[in-house]
Amino acid sequence: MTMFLRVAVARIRGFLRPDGPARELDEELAAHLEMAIDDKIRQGLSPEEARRRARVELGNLELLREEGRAAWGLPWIGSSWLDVRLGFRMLRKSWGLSLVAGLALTVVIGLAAVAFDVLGAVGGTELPLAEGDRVVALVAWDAQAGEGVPTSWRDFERWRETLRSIEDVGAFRTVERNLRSGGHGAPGAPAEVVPVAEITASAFALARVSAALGRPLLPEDEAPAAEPVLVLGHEAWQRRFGGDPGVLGREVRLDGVVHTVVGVMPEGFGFPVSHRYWIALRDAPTGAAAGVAGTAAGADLVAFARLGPGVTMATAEAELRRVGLLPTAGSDEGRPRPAELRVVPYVTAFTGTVPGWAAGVILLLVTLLLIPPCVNVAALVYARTVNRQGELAARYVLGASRFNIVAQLFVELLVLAAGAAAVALVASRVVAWQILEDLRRRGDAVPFWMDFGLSARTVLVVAGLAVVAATIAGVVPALQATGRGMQAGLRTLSGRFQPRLGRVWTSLVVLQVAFSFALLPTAVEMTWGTLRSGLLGPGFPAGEYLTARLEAGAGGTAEAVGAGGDDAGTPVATRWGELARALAAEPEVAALTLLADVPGDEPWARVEIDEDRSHRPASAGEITVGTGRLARVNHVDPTFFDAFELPVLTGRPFEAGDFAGGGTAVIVNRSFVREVLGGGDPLGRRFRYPARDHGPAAAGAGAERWYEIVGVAADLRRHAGVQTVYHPAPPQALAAVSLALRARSDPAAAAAALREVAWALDPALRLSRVESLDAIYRQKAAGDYLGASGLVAATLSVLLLSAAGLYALLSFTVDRQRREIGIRLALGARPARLLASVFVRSLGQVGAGALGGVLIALLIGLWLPVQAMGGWEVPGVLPVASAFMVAIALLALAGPARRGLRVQPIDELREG
Amino acid sequence: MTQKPSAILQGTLDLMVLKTLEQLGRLHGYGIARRIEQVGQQDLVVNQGTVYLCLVRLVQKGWISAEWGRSENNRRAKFYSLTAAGRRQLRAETEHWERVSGVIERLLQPVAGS
Repeated sequence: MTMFLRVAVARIRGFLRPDGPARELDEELAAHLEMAIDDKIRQGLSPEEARRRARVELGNLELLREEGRAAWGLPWIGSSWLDVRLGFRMLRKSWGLSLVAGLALTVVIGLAAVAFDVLGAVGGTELPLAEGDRVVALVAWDAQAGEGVPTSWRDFERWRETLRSIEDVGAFRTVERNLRSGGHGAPGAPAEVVPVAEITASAFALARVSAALGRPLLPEDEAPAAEPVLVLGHEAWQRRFGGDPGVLGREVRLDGVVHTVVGVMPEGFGFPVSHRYWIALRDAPTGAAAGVAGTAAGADLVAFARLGPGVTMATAEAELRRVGLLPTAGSDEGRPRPAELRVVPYVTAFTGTVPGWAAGVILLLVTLLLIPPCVNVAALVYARTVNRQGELAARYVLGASRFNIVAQLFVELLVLAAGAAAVALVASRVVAWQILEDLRRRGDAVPFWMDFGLSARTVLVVAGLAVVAATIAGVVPALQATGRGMQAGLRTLSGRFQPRLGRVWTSLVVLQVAFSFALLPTAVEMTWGTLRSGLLGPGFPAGEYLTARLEAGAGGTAEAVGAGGDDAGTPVATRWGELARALAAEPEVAALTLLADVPGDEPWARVEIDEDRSHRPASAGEITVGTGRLARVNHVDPTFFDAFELPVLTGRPFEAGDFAGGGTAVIVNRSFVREVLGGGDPLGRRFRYPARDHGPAAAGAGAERWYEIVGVAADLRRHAGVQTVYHPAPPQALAAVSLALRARSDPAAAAAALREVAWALDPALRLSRVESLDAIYRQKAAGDYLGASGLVAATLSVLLLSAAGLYALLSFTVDRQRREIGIRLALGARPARLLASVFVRSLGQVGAGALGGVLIALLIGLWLPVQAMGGWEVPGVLPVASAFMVAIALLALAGPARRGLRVQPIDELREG
Repeated sequence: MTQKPSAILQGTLDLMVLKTLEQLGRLHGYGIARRIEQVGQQDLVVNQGTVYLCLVRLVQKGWISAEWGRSENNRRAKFYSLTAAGRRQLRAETEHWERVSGVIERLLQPVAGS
């Protein structure tokens, strides 16, 4: 080994300063010659003869120098560099192939890069804290249910007092609070709903991060009688308090309870997850019943700790299991719950354990995904390689081995794949940035340990895939092309050999054509479905509508109770009436309604139409219950259709009786009639949600119940109407409630009024995600554009590959028949007719591919839920897409056709 | 008919160079090439140039060291000497060679009685 290293070091040194050893060898050889000449002159030879003999005995000087250079340096780098330069030259020369192959490889490698970026970010368990690998979570795992059991306050307290193998034992839970700056009666910024960490002071000791301003939470803050204090995150301090250095001592209200700001944490600190506000976790955090997990709200604590010095996770787990869980109050015989206590790396308590094989499976999948484009590129490379057989044969004659030639082709493709990999890496960075932006826009903070930066693993995977791609697309065709023997190539040199595109490659091209035909309609529908709503706009004044999430105070934190906050679990409904009345009095509010989901973004559900009650006569073989179509489902209150100015076009609007509960009346929109019912009279027709799909969430017991259409409303989004079902829902039936209001003139003023009214009514009544419908649609469109651009890139690469494959196939067919064309032209055949006969033969292959493709496309259309995936049915897409593909085929024919027409009979006959 | 000189066996040039340096001490490339020629007389043909490639190899392996100096007729030349590692290598190679040549010799001896 040392010998190998010694030689390697010597060679690398020689490579780094190539002139040194070369010059020394030259000097040495010169000295050798002089000494040899001196000797020979002394032996009696004439100086000329002495010089001649000395030169002969020494051997070929040039060869010696060459071999000396090779012995001192790294000769293969030199030859590889030559191959790389050749590769660049070929990329430039065959730019069409480079573009097509490059795009295809970029798409697949880019996909792999994104997959590994996400896996690295989500699956990483490293905690960016001092000795972060020793921070653990204490988890009670219910193996039967396959989920974690929330930790109760009593269990946590026992663990904190008893466990010795771990230190800084702490716990937290996330609560949402209405935050308002300014203390008692002081004016401040409008209230906003913020996630707050109720956490033990030990968290800050565990994280080993000190406050940037003031202090973190201290154990004494946890005392029930202590003054409520708040620690701010750097981002919250900047955003909400303008980075005011005098923020310490300021009073803010959380759900009406005054807290004093005592500290600001440094930038980037987000422990325990992605928090920006911290308050002390008090004894019995959510009131009296907090003692038992699962029975009281707020028992959902997450316990964490740091392993003691020298303690392993297994030791800590053994101790935790010895201490165990307290018996569940109220359960039979007070038996402990069947939960298994575990000590796990902190991050896995939130993200779960990403199994070690996940990376392997992803790698396998992307490698498999890489094969189709690579095989396509290989077909093109093969066609080009066969065309270059003359050049390759010349290299062979000049002394290059088959290995050298295959290596050259490999390096050529490696240059291309490396370029594609570089672009893919940049693209994956853009996607990662876009995902982060998207998360930020939606208000979902990214856990502080998640690192979306470029990881070494991603770079390695991308580099590996580039090598795999170059091997499949470069080495395989090179071996095939050179395997036919250089004899063929040598005959090419003499002009007597006409290369052939083998049957395998022809079949591949035909398959490729079929694949393109099959893919194109779905791709067009998906792309159009993704883009159309963003491009065409909602078709109604979405900017005037505000939506907001409405929740009653999560009921009674200790502070809220102390401050006269509402009792636990206040239904929104009881507050809704008051809120609606108060808002109706606001001049800015034109209309107001309650609904389960934001219009235009409702969940999908599968509906089964009752064909028995169909107004169409059922044919003999028709199944009774249809196969089911998808529709969006919303639950709305009586004012919904007025608030959104949706006239009921047929049938009747909802009546008071429909809201009584247990009713089966529904209103559908026009798109539902057209897309799901296929037209006709919809009134009286029935449908249900199949039980296996659980029905829409809010339908609850309504799954499997038949619903009857009593009215048809206009589509909300004029240009992008999606089949939608509206169920009547009184406020108390809605588990999650959105409210929508229409502003008279200024949506911002309406939003402010909404916040003021809600705050005045009850500081614990939380309004979150106050956004205009327009903004929601725009955000959705931004995300859609990203997906669509990926889809477009993939489709484009397939199309381009297909077109290039066609081109290669057709130009080969024409080129192969040049001699035949020449002879027939000489015999007086008409050129146009000759070409037509050639094309008919070629187009036969294209036609076979097209036919197969159309059949597959029809099958995809039947079985793939394109609409549920966000697609949009485009009428006549299949014929148009087919025509497009035929146009590409004709375009591919244009080049060879031009060459075919230029065939000079005399030249061809002379060459023959 | 004169007998054609044998081509040098692959790998044996290293041994020859090491042995020459052991016997003659510090020596330049020309001296090494001449010594091998003299010992080989008419039985062995060595392309003198290949000695230099062999020297490069041995230096890289650390078996010999090289330094510039003056030849006996005052010409600048590179002198090579055996290193400790080279000495060990020479011992090992010599033993190996003796074993192999012994086997070849026994193989080539006529079988008694034939």
